[in-house]
Amino acid sequence: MDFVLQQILNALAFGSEYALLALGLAIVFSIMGLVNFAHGEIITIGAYTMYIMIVMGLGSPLLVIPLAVLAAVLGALAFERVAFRPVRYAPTSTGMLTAFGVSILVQNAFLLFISARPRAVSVLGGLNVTVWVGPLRLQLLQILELGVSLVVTLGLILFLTRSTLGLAMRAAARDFAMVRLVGIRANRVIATAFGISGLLAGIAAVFIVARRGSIEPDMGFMPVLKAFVACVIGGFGSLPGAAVGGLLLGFIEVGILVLLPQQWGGLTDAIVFALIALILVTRPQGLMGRNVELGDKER
Amino acid sequence: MQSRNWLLSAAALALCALATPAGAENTLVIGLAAPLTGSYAPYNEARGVQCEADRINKANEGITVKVLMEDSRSDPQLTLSLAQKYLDDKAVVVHGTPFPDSLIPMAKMAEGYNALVYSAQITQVEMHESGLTNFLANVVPDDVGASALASAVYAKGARSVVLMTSDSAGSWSAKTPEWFGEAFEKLGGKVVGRLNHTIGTSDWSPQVANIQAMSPQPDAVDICSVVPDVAILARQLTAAGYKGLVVGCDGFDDPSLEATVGDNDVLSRMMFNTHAAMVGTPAGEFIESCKADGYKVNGIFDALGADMLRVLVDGAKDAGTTTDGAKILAAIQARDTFDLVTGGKISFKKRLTWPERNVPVIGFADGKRVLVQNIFPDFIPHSK
Repeated sequence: MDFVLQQILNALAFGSEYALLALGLAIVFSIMGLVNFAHGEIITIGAYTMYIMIVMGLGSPLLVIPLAVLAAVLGALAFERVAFRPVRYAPTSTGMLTAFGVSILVQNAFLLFISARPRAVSVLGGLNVTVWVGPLRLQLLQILELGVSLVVTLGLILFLTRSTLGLAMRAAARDFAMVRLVGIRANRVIATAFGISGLLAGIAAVFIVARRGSIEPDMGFMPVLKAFVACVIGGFGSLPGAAVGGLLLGFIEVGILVLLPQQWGGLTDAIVFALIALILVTRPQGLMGRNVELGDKER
Repeated sequence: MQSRNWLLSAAALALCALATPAGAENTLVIGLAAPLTGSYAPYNEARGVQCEADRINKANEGITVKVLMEDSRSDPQLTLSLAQKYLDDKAVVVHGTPFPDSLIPMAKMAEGYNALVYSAQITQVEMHESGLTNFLANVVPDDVGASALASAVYAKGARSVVLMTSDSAGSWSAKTPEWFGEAFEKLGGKVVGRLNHTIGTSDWSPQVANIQAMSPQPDAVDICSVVPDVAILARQLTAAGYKGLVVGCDGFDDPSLEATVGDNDVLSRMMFNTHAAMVGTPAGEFIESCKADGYKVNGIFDALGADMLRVLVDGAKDAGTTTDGAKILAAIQARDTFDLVTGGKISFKKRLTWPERNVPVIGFADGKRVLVQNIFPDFIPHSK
């Protein structure tokens, strides 16, 4: 029983990290229809900011954490201004290719100017303390991740439902042209979406670096892949869907790791994606996505 | 006047025609489609090869080394395109992204040019089983490394082990732990469990919970993966109260391992097999001196690249040619031993495509790397 409870807690921790990542991807998609595969590099920017600060002798966590988050926000805003704004009205595939381009560029910039090898960043190692609750083992990091993901999701809901800018963003997600017609500045709405996405990526970077204890140029690739899968499960464009998708992905991954006989380990990814395919066959728009009119493509 | 110019031109051409073959005969052309960027960039040997080539050329050994080098961007297709270009430019040895999906087709391609593929660092057993007749690896295959590690772990007192396997990096991550287990059981140890993982894992909680639930706890956990994954695993296992060893393959051998683990107690229970000990050894000295000379060397793979070049130059001297790949290969395989830049000796005489060389097993004391063992194992689980 303790083992099952322990693995449920592990799944919750996995899921909350995926939810945090997926929300960052979903908020940009909901406004721009852009799957920002460079989201992983925003995490990398946050992570390398920590490294650079340590190299400069500014290794206090109290300084490193806010500046890493700030760097991620600025990085996301810079991506929007330099790379995505010029292709805003181009087909969605152009935006996606631009995102891949930005991703490759940033990865290789870190590789060439810092190192291809991992660099240790142990300044946040204190967050890996183990907390025992009876027979259950929890890392402080897992508790923080769970808590922060919850707070961020609630904060995002409040922002989107109570603030003028949040309402404008929700409206833009529905009908961007109409939002512009009523006088709301498109650039501001989109930049805010990227800023929030950068904030979420920065927070995720703090957790990821605390757990890994090191950074490397392609460290953002796996997280963004997980975020993408979580968004597909939850329904692209739906923020609650991204959170639910992230949590579900965490449970699926941990469930398979624990339940699958070890000699079938090679089938792990196949089973994860088969389950996702099953979800999409029954709900093609994802668990919480909106139905889209497909015209003559409808069955 | 015109006829005088014509005569001068003809004389110049004749001189060139005479000079070119003699120069080419003494020049060993090596083509490196090196992964300078992309996922495999940490594993390239390019700068070490360049550093050693410049030293050989300066020493005037009678053979000049010319290194053709471009970035393969870790892409197998680009690696092959570059190899084709190098072969057309008369390279007699080519190498690229050190994985079978690049090197097997590259070797097939090089066959038609009487050229060979010599890899400084590839350990995958597939390379030695694909029937290639023009391939050499500078290091032992994974099963040999795993067997050497097993004997060191057994000697340290471990009698039970959990194997962690992954399909993420082919036989390297999937089979190497199994070969470790085979060698460990042959010594009298026991494999008490197997767990899966994916390379890139940063939260090992599910696997840690599995190990935690085992009674008694295994004496060792063996895994073939990379830094930071293995460092995080060791940390998380220790945080969960595990007191056994965390051991593994050459993927552990990264300069950032110690800082990423960040705890001398955890490090003291880690051990890994590698290809050359780097601290206080000729390999380490080579790296330091290359750095001092301004080469941006990465570490162990650069040292292995220098070894590769040393063997090639000595093999070409024995063969009496720098342009006939088959003769150079035959000379390398016929020679008793080669002295390495990284210290020690190797021989291809018995195994032909891979060398018999000692496998260093590294452990830690007070947070510093120490050489635990340096042997060629008696038992080889897989390779011929």
